[in-house]
Amino acid sequence: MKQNDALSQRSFFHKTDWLAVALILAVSLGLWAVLFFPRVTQRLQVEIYCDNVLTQTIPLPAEDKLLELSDRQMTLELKDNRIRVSETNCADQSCLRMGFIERAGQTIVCLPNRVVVQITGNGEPDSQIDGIAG
Amino acid sequence: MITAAVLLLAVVAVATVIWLLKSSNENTELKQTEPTVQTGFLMDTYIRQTTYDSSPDAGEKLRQLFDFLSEFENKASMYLSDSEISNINSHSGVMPVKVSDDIFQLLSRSKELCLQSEGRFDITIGALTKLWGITTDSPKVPSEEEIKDAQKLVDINQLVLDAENKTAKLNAPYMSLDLGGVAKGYACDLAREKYKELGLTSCLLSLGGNIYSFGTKADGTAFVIGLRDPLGDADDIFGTVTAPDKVISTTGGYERYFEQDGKRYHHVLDPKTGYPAGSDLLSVTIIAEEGLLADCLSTSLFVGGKEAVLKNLSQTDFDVIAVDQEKNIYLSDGIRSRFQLSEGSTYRLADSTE
Repeated sequence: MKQNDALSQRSFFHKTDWLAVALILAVSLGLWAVLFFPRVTQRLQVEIYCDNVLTQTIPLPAEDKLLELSDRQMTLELKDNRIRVSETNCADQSCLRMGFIERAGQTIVCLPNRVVVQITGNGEPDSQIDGIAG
Repeated sequence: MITAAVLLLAVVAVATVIWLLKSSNENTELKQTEPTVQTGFLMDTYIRQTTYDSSPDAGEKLRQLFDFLSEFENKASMYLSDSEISNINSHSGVMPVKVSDDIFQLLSRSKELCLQSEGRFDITIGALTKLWGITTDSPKVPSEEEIKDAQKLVDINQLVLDAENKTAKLNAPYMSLDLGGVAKGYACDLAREKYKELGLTSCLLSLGGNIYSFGTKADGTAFVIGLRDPLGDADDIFGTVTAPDKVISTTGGYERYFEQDGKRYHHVLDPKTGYPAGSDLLSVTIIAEEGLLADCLSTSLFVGGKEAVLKNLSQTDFDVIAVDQEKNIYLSDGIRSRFQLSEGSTYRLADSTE
C-alpha cells in the first residue's frame, strides 16, 4: 500500500525516466544503424580478365578514365561508375554493342580477344534470371 | 523505483532489438548467400559456373571442373593440332587412330545421332567448316565449285569406329571431323559426373549455347534460365524456363556470323546444301537429360526448320522451345508448365496443333 501511495504522489514519468527512454532510443537507433547499414551499402568492383587471368580490379566508385588493354587493341571506358568497351579491333563487335554495365552480376565478354569484364559485389543483382541460354 | 523499472524494461527492449536484428540478419544471409562464380574461355567459347555450395573450397572445385574440361578440349578440338580429333583428321584415308574412352564414346553416340538426323546434322562436316571459316578471323563465301567439292567429303557413313580396339578412321582422304555441334553438350554430360565426384551439390554451368542446371539454388528452388531473344541483345530474353538436372542447348543464326556484300552468313551449315541453313526459325532450344543429344538436336532441328520441329513436340526424351521468323513460339508438351513468357514480350505462343 505504501508503494501505491508513493506512485500516486509523483507523475507517472519522472524527468530522469524520460532521459533514460531518450538514451535507450538513441542507443537502439545507433545499434540498428551499425547492424543494418553495412548490408545495404553496395561494395561493387570491376574485374577485368584476359586469357582467363584476372588482370585488374577496380573498386567502385572510381574516377572516370579510359583503360587501354594494349596487348589486344581494346579500350574500356569507365564513366559514372559504369564500364563499357569503347573501342575494339575484333570482327564481331558484339562486346561493343553490349554497352555499359553497372550492376553486380553483369558481364561483357569478347570472345575473339578473350576478355571478360564483370562487375561483382555484395549487392543482389536485380535480375531473377540465373543464366541465359542462347 | 519507477526509474529502475523503466531501465530494466529498456534493457530488455534493447536486448530484444539486438537479438531480433542479429537473427534476422543471419536469416537473410542464409537465404542470400553469395554464389561462387568462375568464368573463363574454353572450347572456343565462354564458360561460366555459378554455385551456391557453401563449402569453403567451392571455388577450387569449380577451378578443377574448368581444368578437367580443358583437358577434354585438348583431346576434342579440331583447332588444336595435337588433339585426338586432329590426329584422326590428319590420318583420314590412311589408317585408324587409337582414341581415349570418352572420345570414342562421344564419336559413337554422335554417329548414331547423325544417322537419325536424316542428313541434317553430320560431324564429318569439317571440310565445309574450314572452307567457310565462319568462326575464324577471315571468313569468306566460297565458290559453288569449292562447296560442291567439300560436300563430297561430308559423309557420316565414312567414319569407321572399332569398338574392340577403340579406334576411329575417316575412310576418304581430306575428310575431317568437326565436333563443334556436339562437344559442348557432351562436356555438360562430363561435368555432371565430375560435379558429383567433387562433392558439389549445385551448379549452373553455362558453356556457349549450352546450360547445365545441376541441383538447386541456396533456397532450394530451381535455377531460372532466360531464353535469349534472337532479335535482341545478349541479355534480352523472350521467356524463362526451369529444367532441374537437365541440359538446355540453343542454336540460332544470330550468335556467330559474318557479312559479305550486304548479306549475312551465320555459322550453322546445312550438310545437304553446303550453305548456312536457310531455316525459317530464329532459334531452337532443346532440353534433355543428355547434353550431347540436346546439343546435336538443337542444331539438326534448326536446320530442319519448323517442319522438323512440329514433328518433334511430343517426344519423351527431350523438350523443344522453337521460335520462328514471325515470332511464334512452339513448345513441346512436356515443357509447357515450366515455360513462362516474359512480361511485355513481343513473342507469342503458337498453337502447336496448327
